Amino acid sequence: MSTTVQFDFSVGLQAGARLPRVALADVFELGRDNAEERLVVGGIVINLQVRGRGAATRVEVKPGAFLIRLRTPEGQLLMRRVYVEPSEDTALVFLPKQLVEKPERQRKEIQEFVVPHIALPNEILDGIEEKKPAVPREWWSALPMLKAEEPITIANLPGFHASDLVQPKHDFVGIARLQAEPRRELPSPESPLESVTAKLVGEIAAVQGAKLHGNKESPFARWKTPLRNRQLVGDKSQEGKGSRYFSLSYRAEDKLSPIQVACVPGRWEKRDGKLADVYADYYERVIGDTHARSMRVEVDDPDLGGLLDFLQQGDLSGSIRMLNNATELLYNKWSNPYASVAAGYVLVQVDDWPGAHENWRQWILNLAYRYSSLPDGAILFTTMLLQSSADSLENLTYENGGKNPFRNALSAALEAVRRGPPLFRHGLKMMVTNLAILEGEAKHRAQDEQTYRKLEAASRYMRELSLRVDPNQPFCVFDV
Amino acid sequence: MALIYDKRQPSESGVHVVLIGVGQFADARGAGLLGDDAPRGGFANLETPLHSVEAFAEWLTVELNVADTPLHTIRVLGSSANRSSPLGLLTPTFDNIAKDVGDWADDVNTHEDNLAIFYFCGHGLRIGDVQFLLAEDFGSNHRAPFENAIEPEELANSMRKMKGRRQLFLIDACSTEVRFSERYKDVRTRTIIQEAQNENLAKSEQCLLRASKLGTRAFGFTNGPSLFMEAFLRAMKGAGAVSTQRRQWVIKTDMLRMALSWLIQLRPEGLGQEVSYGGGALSSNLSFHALSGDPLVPVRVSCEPRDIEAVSALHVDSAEHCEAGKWPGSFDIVRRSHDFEAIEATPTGSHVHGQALEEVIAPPYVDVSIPCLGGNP
Repeated sequence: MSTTVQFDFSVGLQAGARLPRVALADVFELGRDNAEERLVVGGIVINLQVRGRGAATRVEVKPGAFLIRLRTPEGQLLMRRVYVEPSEDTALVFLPKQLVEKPERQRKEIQEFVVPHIALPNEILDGIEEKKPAVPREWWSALPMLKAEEPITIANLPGFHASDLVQPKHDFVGIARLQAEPRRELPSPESPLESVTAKLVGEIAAVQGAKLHGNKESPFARWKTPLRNRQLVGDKSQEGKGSRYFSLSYRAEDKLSPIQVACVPGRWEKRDGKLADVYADYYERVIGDTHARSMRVEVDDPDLGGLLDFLQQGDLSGSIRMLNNATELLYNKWSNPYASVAAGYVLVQVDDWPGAHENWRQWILNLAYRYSSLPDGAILFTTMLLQSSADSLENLTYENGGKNPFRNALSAALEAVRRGPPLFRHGLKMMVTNLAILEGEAKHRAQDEQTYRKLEAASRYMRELSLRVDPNQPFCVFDV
Repeated sequence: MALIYDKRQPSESGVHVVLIGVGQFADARGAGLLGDDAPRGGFANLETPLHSVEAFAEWLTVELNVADTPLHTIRVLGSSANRSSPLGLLTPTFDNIAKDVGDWADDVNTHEDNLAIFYFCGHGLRIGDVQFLLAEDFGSNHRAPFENAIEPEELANSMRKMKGRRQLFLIDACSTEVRFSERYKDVRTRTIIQEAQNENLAKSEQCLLRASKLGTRAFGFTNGPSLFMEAFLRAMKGAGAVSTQRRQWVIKTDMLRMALSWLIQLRPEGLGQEVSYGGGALSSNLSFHALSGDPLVPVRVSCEPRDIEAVSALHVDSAEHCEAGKWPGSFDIVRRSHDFEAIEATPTGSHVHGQALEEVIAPPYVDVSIPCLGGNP
């Protein structure tokens, strides 16, 4: 009979904290009075959200004594000693505590305690707090902006009923979903005083309010499609190639005051072909001696969530192990460029690894070139050009011949900057380094003054984004 | 003098270390820098950085053991408002730091198998994703008040071009967040090492460990090393160790990070101080110190319920470890399985309240809970 390794990462978690989604397990064989240990299997990915024993991770071992270390992306550690008896089935079965059968009612209560995303029925919440009268349904609809006569900025969205869509119970805080077009030109060295809207978003094309659910302390919005208007959003195959999407957190007791802008993915397709929920919620961020309510963006994808968590913690070895788990998703399916980018950040940093596909560098180049509104692919390929072995980049196929901007590092970097802020925060760091390298070279080689000034302006722009970004999240969320 | 240890051998690999402990911040205070955005306590002078660099330098000289890579250089810069170091150190102004970090980088660049260690202890700030480590003359130029600071991730990125690929950066400073405002959108530090094209992103083994997560504070004591350094030196005995072969143990940064967070949080002052990685490629699982024997593992032993500790002695492997009411917060014990017992001495003999037998004690740390039966013996 198999041996169950049961563990519970919810012990000691603060109220409201999110349960970890994954853990990595290392299995050690114990020897000689338990004074020795020998690694048997390392980096086993344990999905902590599995439903049912059949889906639990199994590891085949020989009979004997074992020490198991499990760690989460957040650094929580659990150790278990198990003894595997000789039998027909000597597997270790990793079973999260949540899977223990409990009455339906009790399980729901536990989930509500630890998972901030679970919504209470609006009727209950609305009964507690003051509620504004309902607004016309069309005020929640997606609103095109490109033909507006006034200047469109994140502080001025004509026709958007910002103050009518917020509730006193949420302290008049609201979330607007923005569709925007990347700018056509680079940040200009001649006019460094570019507007915050242009820097963070580009050109706003449409806006739609997002309904806030949840209680006063942790309101959240959730959606599957970036705007609820098929005509505006376009075909799924255009993800990463056309418009970009953002979340605007604002306060509007009477007038709209922008607080933060987050880069968000468009339609995020999961392995099973269904669209993942994208969440924007709030958490208490410590700033000096004060606490501020800050927007947080998350994607509910069991395959990629763990990778994002390890990336966020800067845990490269954990991230690599998560890649093993998602190989099929990353290499064989082109339906989700956003997930591919997340994997790309790990691949570019580790280069060759045991599970790597031989064509992965071409795959990064295609990501950079074909997904023309996604800066992250461009950043990744620029990084490869500047910080990877030149030999490994031979024999790549550059689509569109000489017009492909990724043939050299300078044009690749400038194309990445033109596309605006990256989706993932990791891209910012990479890009700041890339631009510093190019700036140094331009100075050293006394390249033409115009190139140097372009690089300087691009560098200043990325620098400002780095100073505005919230470092506690995998996606870019900027203070306005 | 900054180079306090110099055993360089041409064309041989070695360990090259630079330690910076900044304890005086008169310029930052004088400039009234940041105004209301300044961190709590302003820019108070610190005693712990000098203690920390001294303790680390001593450990490196006496204990560091890297296979086939002897210690070659230690450079130390340090200051304190109240004492001078017997090591006779240079003050950690930006210019002095830049000079010595530059020299250290040159040494690192001499051999592929070199191991580089960088340690900074002092005040730190953060705006957005950028951490600033303050040199002693931070704030002295009112036209560019942030220029006399180090950005640790930028420094690590620029070090990637060096031949020596194994690089460990230890950042023992607060990274209290300063709220972004238009005032700070151009703040910039001076460059110490220019970043340059290289082929080492995936080849280098760089690890940057922060004493506290971005946005949080790190602590130290007036009369001794920081919590981070204290925990680091303790973890070198075994808490950060990984078994490479049977009974051969080496400190690796993945295990070390978990050990450090736990050890720091054993202290009430360290609650909430979590050790974290630098971003991206700055989180390699780097090995850098081999143990000469079995690791010593920190354990915290408690009774359940806790009040039994007041009347029971703690016995480890049948020998009394401490008296009733004097249970230690934690102690180190050799890695293997051990028996833990809570035993009350009574006029009629001994009463065993509870036992935790055959507990496997393994790095990075173990919490042992002895289940006890209540009631009188």
